Amino acid sequence: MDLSESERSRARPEAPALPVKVLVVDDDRVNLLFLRSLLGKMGYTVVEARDGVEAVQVFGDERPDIVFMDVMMPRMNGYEATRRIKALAGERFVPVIFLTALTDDAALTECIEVGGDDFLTKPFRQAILKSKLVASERIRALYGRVQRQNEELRVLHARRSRDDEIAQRVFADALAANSGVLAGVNSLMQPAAAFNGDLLLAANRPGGGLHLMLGDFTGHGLAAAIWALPVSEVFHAMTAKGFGLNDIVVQINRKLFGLSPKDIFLSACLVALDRSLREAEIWNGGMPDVLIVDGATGRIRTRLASHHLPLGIASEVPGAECLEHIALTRGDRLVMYSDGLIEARNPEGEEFGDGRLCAAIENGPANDAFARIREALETFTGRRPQDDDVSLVDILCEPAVVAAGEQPTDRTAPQQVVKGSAGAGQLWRWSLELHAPALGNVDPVPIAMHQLAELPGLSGRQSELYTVLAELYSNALYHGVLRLDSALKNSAEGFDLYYRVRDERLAALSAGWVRLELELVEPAPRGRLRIRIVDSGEGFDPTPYINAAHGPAVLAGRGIALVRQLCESLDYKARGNAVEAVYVWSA
Amino acid sequence: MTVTSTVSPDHKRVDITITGRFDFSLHKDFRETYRHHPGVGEYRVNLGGAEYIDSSALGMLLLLRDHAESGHGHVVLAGPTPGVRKVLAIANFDKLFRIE
Repeated sequence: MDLSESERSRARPEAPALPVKVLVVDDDRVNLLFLRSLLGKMGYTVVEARDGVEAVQVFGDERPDIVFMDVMMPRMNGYEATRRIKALAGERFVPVIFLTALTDDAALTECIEVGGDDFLTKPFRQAILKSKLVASERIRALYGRVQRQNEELRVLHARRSRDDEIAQRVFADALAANSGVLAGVNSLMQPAAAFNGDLLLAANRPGGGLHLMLGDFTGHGLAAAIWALPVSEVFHAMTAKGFGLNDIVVQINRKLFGLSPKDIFLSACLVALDRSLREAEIWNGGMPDVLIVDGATGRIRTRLASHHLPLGIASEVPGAECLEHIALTRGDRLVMYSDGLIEARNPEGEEFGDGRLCAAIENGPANDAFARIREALETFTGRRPQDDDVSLVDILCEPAVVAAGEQPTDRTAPQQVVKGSAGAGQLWRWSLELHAPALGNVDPVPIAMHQLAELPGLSGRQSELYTVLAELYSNALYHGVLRLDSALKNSAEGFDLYYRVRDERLAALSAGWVRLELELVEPAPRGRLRIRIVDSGEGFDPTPYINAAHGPAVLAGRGIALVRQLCESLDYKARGNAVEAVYVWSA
Repeated sequence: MTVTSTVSPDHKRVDITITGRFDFSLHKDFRETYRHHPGVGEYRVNLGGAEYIDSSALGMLLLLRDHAESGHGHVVLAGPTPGVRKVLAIANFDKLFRIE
């Protein structure tokens, strides 16, 4: 413990101040002489007063450590003088020992009542006097120790409050900088104390879609909440770059495993809402069930239980590919909460419980479920103070929630002119080829986006570029190499089947490749980027998809039509396994 | 809320018994039960009397597991009540511990 100089001097254990100073108050000169001589021999420094008035004055001037006080004195008696002296002493403990010839009970108890600590009856016995002095010293030492400890505590407490205040500000600023209030997301974050051990993060994806995470760190208070900062950084940075939920889960786990002590971990549930609002990816490690509430009926349609270890426990996330895929309809709601909600207790000690939560949800239209849960919780817990952080999130699956994320405009990037030595039309070229088994495990789209971020004039265009790259790449991988048929996703059974087959084929993939090529043909201000993706598949005939504005709502078809709109041109080459898109922009 | 422990005579097993609330207040005592016994084969944590377990307790179990594994031992969580068993299940601790 590190105290400053001023703090240290206040808390320093005092060496017993020798000689100890005694004030003797008596109107009888003989008594004064006797006591002075006696106490002097015992090693004390003696000062005197002849009556109550003088006593108070001398006390103020000399600040003695112990006072012997006669009772019957002219001008002011010992009782009154003691009252005043005790008031003057304040927090300092100065024992007052009465010297009295009176022996009746009333007189003696009065001594203690006015604030005196002991009494000596006349005639004095030397042995008794000495004993009382020793006892007095012991009590003085005890008082002194208690006072010093109190002072230390006061100092430490003040320091701690100041540190907490600063930490709170840092947190609020850091976390606020990253998240915005999202339309369509209701949230209730109720920490049990100053720092919240629960964490809510939400961010829109570059091409549209939503990532949301509700987490619960072990313990609470600052020791738990402090891990929110690195986790938030990873979540937001990766989402902005277009990484998927899988990759984010792996990275957060790595970060926590590496940084935090073994007994700190993060229970979390993460959700990725697709921009089409037709499906969600969910990962739940250690949190209560994620609930899907049917928008039309208000009933809980699906519950996604925790199937993974919380983050930060295992060195690698086992089964990171095991995201659950859930079919959604517009208007559905996702409800997530931390165990603080379920375990919140009422004054009688009962827990709120899963039953009451589900009743509140299903007790009326889906749109008001959030409000009903809040009310039920408040009514139930009454005035009982919170034991644990309580968090509740309710997401409505509607277009506003999955709008494309805004890209931060980088005003600090210098305007570069890209010059190349290659012939005209080839200013900048970048390509990446992925073969199985890396193919399927590595997502090249965020990597490509990172390269493109270097090109001047493209800020504000990242959302569109991401959409183009992601669509074309996923077609190449899933339809080209894996030969999956998106039409499967149109039916309820087909939906699960599609993902099962997809996971199987990905796991079994031993051959196959996809190559991504980017070529900057013309620089800003009128930029032209050629995107070429080739896969090892058999190719396909895109004609039904390119012109499919309506017809069966095939996900792949809609994607290609969208790319066609965003680009100047879109052509399928070779046997249909190579696609070339030209994207133009003006800065 | 208490922690008690016994060591088998052949030093191959440590039995740790928790009663009451298993939470952060047991931190020091819990650690004391195993700290001075490296190389024990089995650490058996008897949870029958533990009426409540929170996330700090889960963290303490992780530390015990770490200690056990560094000495080539293992941890068994014995006789958890239904409530405690549920908490262990949600945290998927059955992937890390043998639960009996």
